[in-house]
Amino acid sequence: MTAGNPASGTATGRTGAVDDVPAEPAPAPESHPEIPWERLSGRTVWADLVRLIISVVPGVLATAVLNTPSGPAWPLLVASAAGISVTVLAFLRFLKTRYRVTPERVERRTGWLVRKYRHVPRDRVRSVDSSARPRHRLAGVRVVHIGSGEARSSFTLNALATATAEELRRELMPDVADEPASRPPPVGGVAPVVDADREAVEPEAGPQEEVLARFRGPWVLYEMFSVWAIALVVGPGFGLHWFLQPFGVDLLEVVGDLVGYEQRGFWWSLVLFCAVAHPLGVAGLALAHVMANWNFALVRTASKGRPALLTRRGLLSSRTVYRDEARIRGIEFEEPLLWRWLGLTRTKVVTTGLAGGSGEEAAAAILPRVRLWEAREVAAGVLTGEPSPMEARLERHPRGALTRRLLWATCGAAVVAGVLFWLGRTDVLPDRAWLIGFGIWPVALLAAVFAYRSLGHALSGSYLVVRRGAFSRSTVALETRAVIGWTLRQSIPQRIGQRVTVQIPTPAGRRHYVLPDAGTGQALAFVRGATPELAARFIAETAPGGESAKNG
Amino acid sequence: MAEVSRPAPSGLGSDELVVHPPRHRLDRRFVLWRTLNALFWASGVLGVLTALLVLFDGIRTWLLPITLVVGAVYLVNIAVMPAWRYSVHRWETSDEAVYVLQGWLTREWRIVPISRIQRIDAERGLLQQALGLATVKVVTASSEGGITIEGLDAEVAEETVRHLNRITQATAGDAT
Repeated sequence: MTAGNPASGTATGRTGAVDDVPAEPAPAPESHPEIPWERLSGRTVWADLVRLIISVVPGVLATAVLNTPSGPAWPLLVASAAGISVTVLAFLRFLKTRYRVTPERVERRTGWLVRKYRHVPRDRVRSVDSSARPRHRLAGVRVVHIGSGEARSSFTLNALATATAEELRRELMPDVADEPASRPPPVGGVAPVVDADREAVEPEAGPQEEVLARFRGPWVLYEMFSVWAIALVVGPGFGLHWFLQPFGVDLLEVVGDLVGYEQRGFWWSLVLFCAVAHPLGVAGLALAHVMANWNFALVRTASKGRPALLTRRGLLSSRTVYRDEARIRGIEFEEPLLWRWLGLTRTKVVTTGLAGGSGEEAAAAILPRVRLWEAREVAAGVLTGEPSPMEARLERHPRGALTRRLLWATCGAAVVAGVLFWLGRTDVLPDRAWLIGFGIWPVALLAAVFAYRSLGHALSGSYLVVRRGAFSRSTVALETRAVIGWTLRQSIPQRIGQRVTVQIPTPAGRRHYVLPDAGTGQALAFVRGATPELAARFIAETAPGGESAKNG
Repeated sequence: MAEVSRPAPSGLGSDELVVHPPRHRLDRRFVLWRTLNALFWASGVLGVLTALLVLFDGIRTWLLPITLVVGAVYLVNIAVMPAWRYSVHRWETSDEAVYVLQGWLTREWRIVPISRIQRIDAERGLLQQALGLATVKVVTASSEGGITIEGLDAEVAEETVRHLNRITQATAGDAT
């Protein structure tokens, strides 16, 4: 409808964005001979040297100087060898990599034996972000990632001088903030989320930025509720353990002494260790979150006359993600179980023209972990023009959906128990293994209840809303114009219970969303309400006295 | 086109709304084709399983039940499924949409508006060629949104593809 050129939209699903720009010079290293290719920054070599030293010195020390008691320090020698080879490869890459920015695209060619050429059309650049490890900071360079939303065409320039990197970012992603044109002062210094939206309905003159969300202190707190915080300590801890072993230091023993393993016994030591390590991990998470999200701002801007949602964030290196608003088709909240209990959610936009991949994940996520109400406010700011679909009241699904889930949970547990019992009888597994089936049962029943309670759907203005998920609940609001067909599925139990599963194919987001186990009447009304024209092709009102309802 | 049928034996509907089934049935040779297909796969899979049973004594305890279950599934697939599917499957193309009803135990209604179609193909496998059948494939921008109509008479399929290609070109595509 309104989005970009049709070829790009339709082709991305299958053939990718790489080869569908007609009319312009074909993307190839030979096009635009007048534009010179640039090299990476020479200082990259220094960063590589730092890494070389870090990886080699411990090995040399361990073997030559310390003369360790536990034989040659094999792990360190292997690490050194790896360090050397990685450095050599990095040096070769530095020698052979060239990049340039032409009027149509950003290009990179690289490769020692096999020449590789990659390019991203400039209007497809979704994100430009620079990262730097300490060694890069030491050398004054930044690693620049240019993301097109597709793994196949995105690429990394490792590395450019800090100033060049910033210049490149500005060239590819002209923020309003960087343009000389007059702009209104940023919306209130510590403006809370979206107050701009409600007043800013009338268009103002000149380029403007509308701030939809800004970094807030409490966000750091929300990051702390993570089961994985402890892994942040244990992982590097083990790394350190392996590293120190050749020097005759047994880190496990040291930790054991610290927590008093001898007197306390295993379990109490474990509890004590967790009690200390978990807060450390949480602190680490909080720090990482601050580094990544400091100065976070989600703004609506009009760069080059096209409205876009722009995210800027980062404490030491800035990262900019650009999303063409014409491609946005909706919003999705994702709430894993623990977060749901805490009232936290992840927020993503549903956009077209992006194929799957981690790059897309990053581009789609518009907010860090925030409270549900905050996410709702931002959602209302992103999807303007009508009451926010994310606040619509959802219709519950019939009771039969719960019964079906409970039955499945019970059958699943019974099958597991049965198979384990049989295996136990044939001496493959211990006799008591079938009891696991009993252990699973209550969990499965709980999951069934969660899954049922998540189910819901609604129509709200030009959006349809679908909610589902047992452990990770997801709520999607999708514009009805992004619906490209319907699939109704009905199994035999569903036929008896007058329920039907609706699948919603779409070119946006996850490519299809599912509304499981809606009542037949609900589902048909939903389909008709969302796409009246299409529904007229296959759904009709019951003729009075016709052969309709009871056909099962 | 193909013979126009009475409404499918069972519909989908509530008190206010009903789904009316697509108009056309498949070609009768669909039953033969699916039966031969199932026979082919059954002989292959069961052949391998039986060979394993004969060759290796040790795994018989758990392989035998699996083989029996697989055998039973294929028996149903050969004896019942093709005819059952034939009685359920319906299809229809118009100037606005492609619409099918498929399945046997679980039934599935699929509809795609013409304006969202990206590609339409007719495909013919070896067996289908021998039987004079063809498969029509409708591809959209969503991986899950496509439609495959199996078991059409080859000429009907070709005519359908031609018709669809003509109207998709006439219909303004959506950029989504």
